[in-house]
Amino acid sequence: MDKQHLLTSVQMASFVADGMLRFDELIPDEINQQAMREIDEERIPRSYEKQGQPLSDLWPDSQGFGAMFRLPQVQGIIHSLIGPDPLYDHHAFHRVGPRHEEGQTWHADAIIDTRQHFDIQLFYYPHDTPREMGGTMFLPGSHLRRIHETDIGRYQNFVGQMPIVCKAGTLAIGHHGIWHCAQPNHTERMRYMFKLRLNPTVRQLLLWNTDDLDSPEIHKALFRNHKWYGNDDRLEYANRIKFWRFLTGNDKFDSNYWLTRIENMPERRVPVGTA
Amino acid sequence: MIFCPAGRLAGGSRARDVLSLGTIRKIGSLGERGNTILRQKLLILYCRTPDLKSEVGAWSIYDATGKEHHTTGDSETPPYRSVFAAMKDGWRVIQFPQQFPAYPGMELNTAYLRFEYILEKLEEGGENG
Repeated sequence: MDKQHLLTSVQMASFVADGMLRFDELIPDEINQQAMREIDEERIPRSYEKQGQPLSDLWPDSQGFGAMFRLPQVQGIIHSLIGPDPLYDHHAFHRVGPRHEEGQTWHADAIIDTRQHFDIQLFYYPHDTPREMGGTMFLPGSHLRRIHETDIGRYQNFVGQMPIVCKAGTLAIGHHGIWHCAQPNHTERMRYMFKLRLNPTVRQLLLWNTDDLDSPEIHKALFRNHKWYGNDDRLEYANRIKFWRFLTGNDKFDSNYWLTRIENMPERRVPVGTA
Repeated sequence: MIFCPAGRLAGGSRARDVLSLGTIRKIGSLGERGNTILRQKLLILYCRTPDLKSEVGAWSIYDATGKEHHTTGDSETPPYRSVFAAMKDGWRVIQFPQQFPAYPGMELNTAYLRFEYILEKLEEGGENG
């Protein structure tokens, strides 16, 4: 894997803090056009392919969606987050029809999933998606919350929610726990979004370009606050510290002593009479 | 279920007020205009802390009068800065969040928004049925 296509430590820290990354206009227009043709001509099946197969076996001749995830830049992103030889979990073409005025209920995908090991989902926008067309609404920083699917369906809006308003060829990468919902489409055109979930087959440990592992920017990225957290912000920081420890293998990593303090339970005994 | 709210309802003091399944039917006295349905608007505010004056971080509105339509992602700023600010604008708090100690072993876990306040207004409008 060419290092230039791998994520940096600062980008990984952003993923830990936000549960997502976005890459605007990453996919070339030729692939975007081919992807739209593959949808229109139904050259890529709507139903799931065989789950658990190597991603590398999927759609070998596709000039659209297959070519998208075979791009070196996309391979570098996938490798950085879940390593080599990922598995295909499932895919979906999400379509929101013209004049669809209702937003989708907020949810996290699949079922409650509390692993430190994580899956990723690619959210690919093959055509321009202005705000009136919706896009997917994400809630940065929601991925570590222990909720099940649409149990969060009473919520409508959050300070800091982020709609994917983008040009064609934009790719968002989400942690499996990220909260999101499709937005209304106020235009006369059908909106498409392609989603692909992938599973790791290796321990997710220092898989990215670690040249900047000591950068002070990592701290800034890791401990970005999200205003919707309220009084839970320090708990979120504690969980991010645990996540960063998992990804780096550094069990002593900490910030502001958040975990070190509560892990301090000394057992060294002072001999009686020496005090 | 019969309910006589302390708050003043439009239509005069002789009105009888009946609450049924989230609506209030105000039955006017003889010679007054016919039945008027009062329906609930719910405003749900999620606060930074249990303090009713703390900042709102998330919100939802469910309007059964039909005057407003709300859905996910339809606004970027909270309708009120705090629960207290909403109260000053006439919203009645109808549910407070309960507080529980963390289950052992789950002290650092996060999940749902903890400080959820449900407020209501009753307004005319909407269709029967």
